[in-house]
Amino acid sequence: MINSLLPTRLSGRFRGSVLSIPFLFLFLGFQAFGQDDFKPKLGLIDRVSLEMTAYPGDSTADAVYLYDRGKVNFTYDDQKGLLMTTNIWVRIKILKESALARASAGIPCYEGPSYKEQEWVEDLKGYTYNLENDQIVRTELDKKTVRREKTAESIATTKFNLPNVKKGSIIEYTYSVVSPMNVKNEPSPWVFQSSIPSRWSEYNIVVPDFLDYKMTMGGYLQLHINNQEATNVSVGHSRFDGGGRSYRFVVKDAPAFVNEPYITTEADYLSKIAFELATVRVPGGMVKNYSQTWENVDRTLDEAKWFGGELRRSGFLKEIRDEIAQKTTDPAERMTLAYKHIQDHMKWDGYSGLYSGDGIKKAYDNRKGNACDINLMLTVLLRELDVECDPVLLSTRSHGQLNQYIPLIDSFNYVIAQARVGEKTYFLDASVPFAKPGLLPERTLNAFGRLIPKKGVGRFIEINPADSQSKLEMITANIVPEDGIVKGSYSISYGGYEALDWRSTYAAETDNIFHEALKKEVPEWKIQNLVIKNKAEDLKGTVNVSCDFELEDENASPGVFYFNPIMAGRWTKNPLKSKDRIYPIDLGTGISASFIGNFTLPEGYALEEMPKAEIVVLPEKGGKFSYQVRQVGNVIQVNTMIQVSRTRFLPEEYGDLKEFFERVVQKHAQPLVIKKKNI
Amino acid sequence: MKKVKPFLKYIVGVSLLWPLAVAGQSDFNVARIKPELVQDADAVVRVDEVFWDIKSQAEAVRKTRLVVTIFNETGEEHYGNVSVGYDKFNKVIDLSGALYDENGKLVKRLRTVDIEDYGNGINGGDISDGRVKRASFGKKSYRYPYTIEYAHEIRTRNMMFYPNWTPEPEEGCAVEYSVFRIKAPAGFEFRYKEYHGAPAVKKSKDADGADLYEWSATDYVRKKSTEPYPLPTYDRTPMVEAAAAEFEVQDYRGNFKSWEDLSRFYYTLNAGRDVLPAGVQDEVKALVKDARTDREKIERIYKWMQGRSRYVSIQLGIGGWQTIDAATVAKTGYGDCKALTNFTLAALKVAGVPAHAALIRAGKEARIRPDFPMSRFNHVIACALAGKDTVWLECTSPSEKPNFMGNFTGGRPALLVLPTGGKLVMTPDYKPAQNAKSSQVKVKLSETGDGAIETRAIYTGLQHEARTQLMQYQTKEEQEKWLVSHINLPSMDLRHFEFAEGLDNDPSVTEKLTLNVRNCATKTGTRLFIKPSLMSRAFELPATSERTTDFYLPVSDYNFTDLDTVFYEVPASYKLETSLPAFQIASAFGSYELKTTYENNKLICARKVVMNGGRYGSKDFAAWVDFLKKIRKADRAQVVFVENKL
Repeated sequence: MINSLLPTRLSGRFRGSVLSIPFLFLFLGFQAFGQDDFKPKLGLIDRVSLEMTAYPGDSTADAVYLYDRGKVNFTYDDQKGLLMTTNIWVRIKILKESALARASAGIPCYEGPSYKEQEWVEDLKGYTYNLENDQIVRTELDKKTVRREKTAESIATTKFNLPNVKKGSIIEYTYSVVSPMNVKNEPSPWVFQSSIPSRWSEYNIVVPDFLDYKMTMGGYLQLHINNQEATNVSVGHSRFDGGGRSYRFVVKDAPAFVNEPYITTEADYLSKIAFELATVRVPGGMVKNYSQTWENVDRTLDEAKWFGGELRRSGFLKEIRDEIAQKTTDPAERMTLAYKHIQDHMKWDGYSGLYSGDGIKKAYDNRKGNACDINLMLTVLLRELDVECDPVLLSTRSHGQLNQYIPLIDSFNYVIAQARVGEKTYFLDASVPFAKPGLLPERTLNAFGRLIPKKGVGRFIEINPADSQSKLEMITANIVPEDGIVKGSYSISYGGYEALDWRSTYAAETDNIFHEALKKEVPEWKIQNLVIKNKAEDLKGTVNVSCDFELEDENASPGVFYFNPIMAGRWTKNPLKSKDRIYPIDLGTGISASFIGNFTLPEGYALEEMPKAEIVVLPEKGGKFSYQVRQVGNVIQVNTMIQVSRTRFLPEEYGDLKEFFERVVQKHAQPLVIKKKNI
Repeated sequence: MKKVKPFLKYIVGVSLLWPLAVAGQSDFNVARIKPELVQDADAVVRVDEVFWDIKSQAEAVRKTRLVVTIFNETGEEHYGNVSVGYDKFNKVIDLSGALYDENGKLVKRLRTVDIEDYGNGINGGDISDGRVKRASFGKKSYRYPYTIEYAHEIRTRNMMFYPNWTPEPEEGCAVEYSVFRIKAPAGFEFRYKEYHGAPAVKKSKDADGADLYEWSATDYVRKKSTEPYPLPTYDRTPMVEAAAAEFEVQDYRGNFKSWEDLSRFYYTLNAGRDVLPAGVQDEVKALVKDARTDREKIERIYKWMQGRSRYVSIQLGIGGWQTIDAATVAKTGYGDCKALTNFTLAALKVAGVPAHAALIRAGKEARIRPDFPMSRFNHVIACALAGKDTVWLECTSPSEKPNFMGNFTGGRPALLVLPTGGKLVMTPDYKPAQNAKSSQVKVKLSETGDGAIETRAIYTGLQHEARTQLMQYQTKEEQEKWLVSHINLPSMDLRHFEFAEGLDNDPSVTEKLTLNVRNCATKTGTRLFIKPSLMSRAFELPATSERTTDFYLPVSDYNFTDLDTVFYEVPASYKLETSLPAFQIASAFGSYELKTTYENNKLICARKVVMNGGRYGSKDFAAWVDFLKKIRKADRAQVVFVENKL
């Protein structure tokens, strides 16, 4: 091995981290409030903003958008065709040192192979404003310091740094990105909020009548201005000039976006507007329809070479089809075999995708593909084996929630399959090694999907986890109070998502990798005779681990022995930490964790004190926690179970859920008191 | 042979003839690998050869060839792709590859579409000449095992940097044959040194009379290590370092025979770039006019510089070693570490304070090798002199206090840059007593064990850094989230918190918390179990106490002193049932002490931990684990109270 010949670059230390942060999805009607308006002039700043030392709405903000505006319009170029110009104009007040990095910016542009497929930057201007000796001093961005770099295949980035930026400065810059419509045919979503507060976030777009965009609003902030009016549009070509609509949306005083745990993705909670091209109606030319209704979406998919077309290719699977068909005629067995074959044969490339990349045949030959490739070929194979199976389109958790009321093909980014055997249906995702049929990976558990049948229209179906994070731990041990020794056997069964997690981590490894991990978990235990059963032989079954153990408990003294019987599976911390909650809680999968302990006491000892039994339930059968200690002869029996069957909770239910876990932690902390009998 | 289109400016040829053919190493049949190398290996490096062909003081060619048999996904992650960096001084002449199946049969050759080319950074905060070509066969999945071969050739005109070499593969992999060859014109002088069991050099003459140097290793196995506290790479890995004696880069001549030479070269490279515009000079003079001491001048200038500058990474020119001049920084207010240091030095010069740039290897636990002069620095700081004292300045920080180096640059050698040649000097070190946390926790317990808690803690030295960053860089919500996830309690309701920076020259942070904690003490039946070590730092125990190699407790984490005192107010309805825990543990690694007293329903628990980081011998490992066990045991101690039976 060799270290790079290139010098390690001299680097500095304090790069302010510009984190964008996550939110909640509420649907908003278009409403306008109030009349006050803000129309700044480029290059001119007000003194009050410069004198501001903290943002009144959020005293801890390190910066604030004083103005953040996007403006989109369309023009026509004889050479390049229709062009979409996006003008950006931002004005940021720097309040703390940590925000200094906001003065460094980059504008990525697509660079395709031909001049017709290139985006470019126009009209870049920048200013920094400072108050020096009580005077407003403006420093302009020096064009010579702007640098254009090819940063990746097909991406060129225009990089620049605003000068003289310090705590208290206001920075302002504006530029336009011009995109030929054959590179980009719809505006990027406009997000009205970010990790810092925003005083005024505005989006303007003028859409000529020959273009029809579907616009969708998300998030929970109200629009301060929501105007639209008919207007004349001149795109620079008589054929295209004509009517159009001009829109103006403003969100005022948006707070900084704050992330929370147990959410799907921040995009679901951010206030934003998104676009999808529905129709292009070129005057005197063809009308091109993009998806508009779900039925249209279905049809578009069915007609698309990269989707419906792929579902009609099956020749390359003939060999394996025949092999499975020969083995069995039972549809359930056929499903299991076909699923296992695709699971083993294919390696997921880590990409989601609604499109088959280079076609499923090529993916099959390459033994590698995106989730769409893998699950479409699974669908094809099952159909060839006469097992009813259809693809199901969905939006992964990181891609955001699916809105059933707005037909958009871009709502989806992932494909799974649903097979039906008799009365039973199974969701299948063969991109996950070690998942049993029916167990979907967590990324796909996002409430709904759209099933596209072989014939007829599609329909929405619920996607719920078929199993929970299930773990059962058992200990049978003898207690020797004089020495504080606990000695016995320990077993763990991993089921559902616990089994999937376990197998993903350890199934391909030697046993001692897990042994090490277990030792790390309970470093004070002496572990011997570790046996792992069903690592991956039968994915429907649990992974079973057993071992012998011995440990010395420190709270032993000759007369009294304090002993916490929840020796395994103890919840020591509440997973919900914050006081309250703004967004709904989405756990993804349910929880089912149990511990059973049987401890034998020697002669002459008795339980002096034992914790009370407890049962706590969550409303609407959301979950149940039980805890019980009993003494039967000289055996102490302990039984505890945590079950959370619902995976989604409203913010109002946060308190209940937190309290539920609180009680678990509380009971799991309680020791028994064992005393020597006075004889 | 396939025709390939020119790739950017450089031709990437797909050659059928490999740059170097090694006898007996062209058959890549997997069955030929020795079983002891294959066992448990994620990948086996069949051939790893680096040929450094020195043409002159100004030019060399580096040829690299790597052939690896990959057995699984982990092996693929380690060796599946190759990245080649290049810039104005380093041109990629050739980058090629091939893939063979289990039997060694050629399956695929690398094509231009398999090579990505990209630059650094996404915005103005990261600008450089450096670019990367990344080659991979990743578009397709191949059946394991398969063998992958990459070769590349780079022509360099920056002789400040020579390659180094280690035979060691990635963890869990093995090496059949690894070789490092240097060819130099007869009598050409350069320097090298072997470390940590690297093989000795074999010298010979090439057919053309040139000098040949060769280091090689065969059958090298590196097991997967789960060993905690490993020695740092530079203290452990077999390595051959090589560096120039005399060299040229662009129009500069230099030599690296000694630290003094290196220092002088860096000085020359940057000389004359420290002139401030007249207006700024006047500003500096006014700033220090009534300062009484040089220290005061330094402090004023540092603070002034911090208030008008921000860090951006702009690495252009000679390997990123030549600074932007001070006048430009005065105008733009930004620069990288070199530029901001140079600007600060320029201002100090105007104020008449002697000061020098210092080259350093920055980063947590990063070091150079003091016994081998070479340019393995990655950062520049300023060292100002106040009389006999040095005041170190981190010029990229907008808020650090003067002379605070911390984890990033503290406690290590730095090379002073002087026209006459400077030497290595140590930056301020941070001893356990300096890195202190001192806390007082007041807990009012209810009869059910709930606690109302108020804490006040002062953090100094390395222990203040995380909290200072939190304070300066995060919003209130983020600070609260960080605290809630870092406070060592099962659950809590954080009612209030505040941070305050200390006013002393030595930086410190005071943290105050108000918490309500349910079940702060555990109630079972009639008893209450109270933890003396409430909210203290927890220690993890390694899975094994056996050790065959030396171990290292990073000084950046293990040099500290924690003083925690918890004052419990116990409800009057309880009486003490057990004896009061008391522990005193001493070891070579530090000490631990826990004292508890109980009087008038007040339980006071004082815990003191002192740790000494550093390198320890393998035979001490059992003692270290024993020390941790004892601490953990002491920390688990509980004080048991029982209801008064009236």
